[in-house]
Amino acid sequence: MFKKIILFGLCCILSCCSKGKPEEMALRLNIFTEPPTLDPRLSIDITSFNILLQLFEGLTRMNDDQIATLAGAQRYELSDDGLTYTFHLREALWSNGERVTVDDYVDTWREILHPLYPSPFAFQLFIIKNGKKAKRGEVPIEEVGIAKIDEKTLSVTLEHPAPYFLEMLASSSFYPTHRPSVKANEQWAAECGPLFVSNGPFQLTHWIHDGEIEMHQNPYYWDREAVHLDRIDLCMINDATTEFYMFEQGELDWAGSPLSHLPAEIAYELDREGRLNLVQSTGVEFLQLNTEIPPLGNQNIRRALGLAINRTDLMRHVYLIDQGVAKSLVPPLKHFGAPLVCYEDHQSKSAQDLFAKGLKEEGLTLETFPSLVLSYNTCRQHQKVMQAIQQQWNHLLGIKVSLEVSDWKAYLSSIANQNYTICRHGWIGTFHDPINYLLLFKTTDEDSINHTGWHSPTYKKLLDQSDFERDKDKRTALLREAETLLMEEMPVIPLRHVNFAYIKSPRVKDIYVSPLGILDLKQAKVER
Amino acid sequence: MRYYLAKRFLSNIVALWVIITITFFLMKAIPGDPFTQEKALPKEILDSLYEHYKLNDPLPVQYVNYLKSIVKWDLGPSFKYKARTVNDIIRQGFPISITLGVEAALLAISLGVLLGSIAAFFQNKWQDYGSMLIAVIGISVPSFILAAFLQYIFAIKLDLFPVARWGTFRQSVLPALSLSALPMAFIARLTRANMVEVLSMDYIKLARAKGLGGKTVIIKHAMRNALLPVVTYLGMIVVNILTGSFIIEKIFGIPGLGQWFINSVTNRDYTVIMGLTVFYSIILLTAIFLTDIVYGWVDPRLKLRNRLS
Repeated sequence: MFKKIILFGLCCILSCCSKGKPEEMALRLNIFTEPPTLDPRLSIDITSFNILLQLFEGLTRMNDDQIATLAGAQRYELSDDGLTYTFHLREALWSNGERVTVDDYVDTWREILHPLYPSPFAFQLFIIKNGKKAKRGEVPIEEVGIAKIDEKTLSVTLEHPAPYFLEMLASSSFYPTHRPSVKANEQWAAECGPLFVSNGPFQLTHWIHDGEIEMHQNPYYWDREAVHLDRIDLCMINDATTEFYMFEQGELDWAGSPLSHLPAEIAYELDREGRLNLVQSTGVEFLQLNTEIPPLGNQNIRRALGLAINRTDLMRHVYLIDQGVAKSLVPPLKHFGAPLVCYEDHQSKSAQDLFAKGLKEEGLTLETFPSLVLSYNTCRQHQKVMQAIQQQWNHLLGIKVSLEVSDWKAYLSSIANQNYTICRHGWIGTFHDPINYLLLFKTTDEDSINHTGWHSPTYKKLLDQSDFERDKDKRTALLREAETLLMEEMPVIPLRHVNFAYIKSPRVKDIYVSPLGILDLKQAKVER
Repeated sequence: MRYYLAKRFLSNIVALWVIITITFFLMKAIPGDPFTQEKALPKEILDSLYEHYKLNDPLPVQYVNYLKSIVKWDLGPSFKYKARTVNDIIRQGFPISITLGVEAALLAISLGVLLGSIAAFFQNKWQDYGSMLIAVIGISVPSFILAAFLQYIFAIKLDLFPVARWGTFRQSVLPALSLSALPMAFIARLTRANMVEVLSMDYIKLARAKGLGGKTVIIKHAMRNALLPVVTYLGMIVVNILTGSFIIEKIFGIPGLGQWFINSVTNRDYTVIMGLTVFYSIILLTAIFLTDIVYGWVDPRLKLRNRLS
């Protein structure tokens, strides 16, 4: 009898686990962590951006050729000085069937720029005339260059012409929010419910914090014909190996970048099996040199350090999968041609010559050359990369390098206080334009990531000129000149142009992986 | 007894206050804040964020305000997860952690006592060596290695259990097993040591001499005394299982509280760090407090000693 009961119990347990066949066309992804927010006005991180892009839509949306195409706007006019955009809204509806109005855009943007509104990404809107001043409280919010012209038209005036503005409009800081919901409850985006109203291809239908998110096709979306998926299931598994296992067990349709990452060893194996997908991203990894620490103030020594690194070796032995060998700061960007080649990788002879010259100029010898400290934040891969560089420098230039590791936030704050010698840094652009990267080193202000102490009036002037240059080719030439100057002076040593590595189920089609690290699922399909 | 309880209760309150104070000032002292990021935020934006989260107030003012809000059990909003308050996070995560914890604790206690008793009963025979080998492995293999191993064997290779996630009983088996290994091994060794000692006592010899069977002697006479130290250890088990679940929760994608404990420190999410510290401290102090009471109740010798002194 007892045995029978046990047997019966076992059968029950096992039968519970047989999975029901999904009838809807559903895509299953892992987003790694709980999204910090689903309120577009507060978003600043890649996880939130990725979910928001499926739920919301701005005046424009990026297509798979990385061009901003009109979405919330039906057409626009640009004034001759390149400063004022006039947008005519499309007849579009929110997921509750109400019309998307000009106020939904205008009020949202004004709110973001309000001095008391805690929007961390508000600086994206500083390109709008008086945006920064409004945030400082120096001008009233009505003086910001955002205006409602009539019920279907709005205009935006910029601080300076920006050919990338239409692309910025496609990002989540510029999404509209449903005003009645916001007015009803400032925390409307905290839970899935009747207040969570969106205007994108999908709508939020279920959200267990820290667990899962479910989205269904938005029946009121204006371009509904282009949307194929019925449902998107997102889970939040905070472990890359587990994610990969779940993919292998058929519980996920995607593993790896940009939402998560594949562990290097697994990616390497997948690459050898020919199952790995690699796609160019707009990410760049580089070292920053603190030029205020004596020998690094010398340009020849900085260049020697840069040229001595063997990036190709790093790819082969540390990153293990194909990554772009960085010969300049700006990664390959669509519509901007190939990246510059400012130097060749691993030029041992020139590196040694430059180093000898630098030593002489500084009145140093190899014996009196101080030991350099390479800092990085806790991460297995960073550690391996830094150890490799330590060895390469020691081997080629004969200098002593020590490593220093600290936790992410402590690391960032010591860099911000310029309390480092050489540190590792990564950057992924928020739109496809070289200015995104070059601006980082324009000033040494507190809010730039330039903590090298390096600044150059010529560099600054070139970037300022590019702001007002309307001719695309001339503007590109100015930007390239600036980049060449930066690489000549080398306060930063680029290491690699990042490739996203992922693996996806063969059933999944037409997912567009943006080099900015965002998946657009609008047109995705899952074959049954 | 009542005096003793009141005294213990008050000392716990003082301990809690000390913990809160130390954590608060240590947390503020470590470099970086919730808004530190790769490209520092512009000054005007930081100002508006600091203002909104009241980080502009002088530290003592922040401290006093925090103490006040703890008394009201309002632990504040998370700085990173804009939609959530610390109370929400605890309300959602704790039941999951406690379910996993209880499952692991039950496994640890039952298997641990069983293994320990077998080992003691068959002292220096193969059963003893076998059980103790398991115990040594349990103590020396870290839980995350065991978790990865179990996941690989039972979920990937044999496909008997799901790889990860939370919600069904089957999903909880592997994490509970991984989590229970260490306390189980510890209990097994503890039980064995005590059982061996108890089995050599005169009253056990008497029981045997009366002609009682092996099983009866063990279960009725030896077990009761041998398990006393295990009871003392129960409080520690609760503590270990609750705080040790971080890595297990990560590996198995379980939305419990353990993950928050570590991530909040990495994110410098001040309110979450404080809220969880306070919450865990209360749980741990209570667990130890209860253990003391239970122990006194189980072991009459202790009560007697108290009365005599």
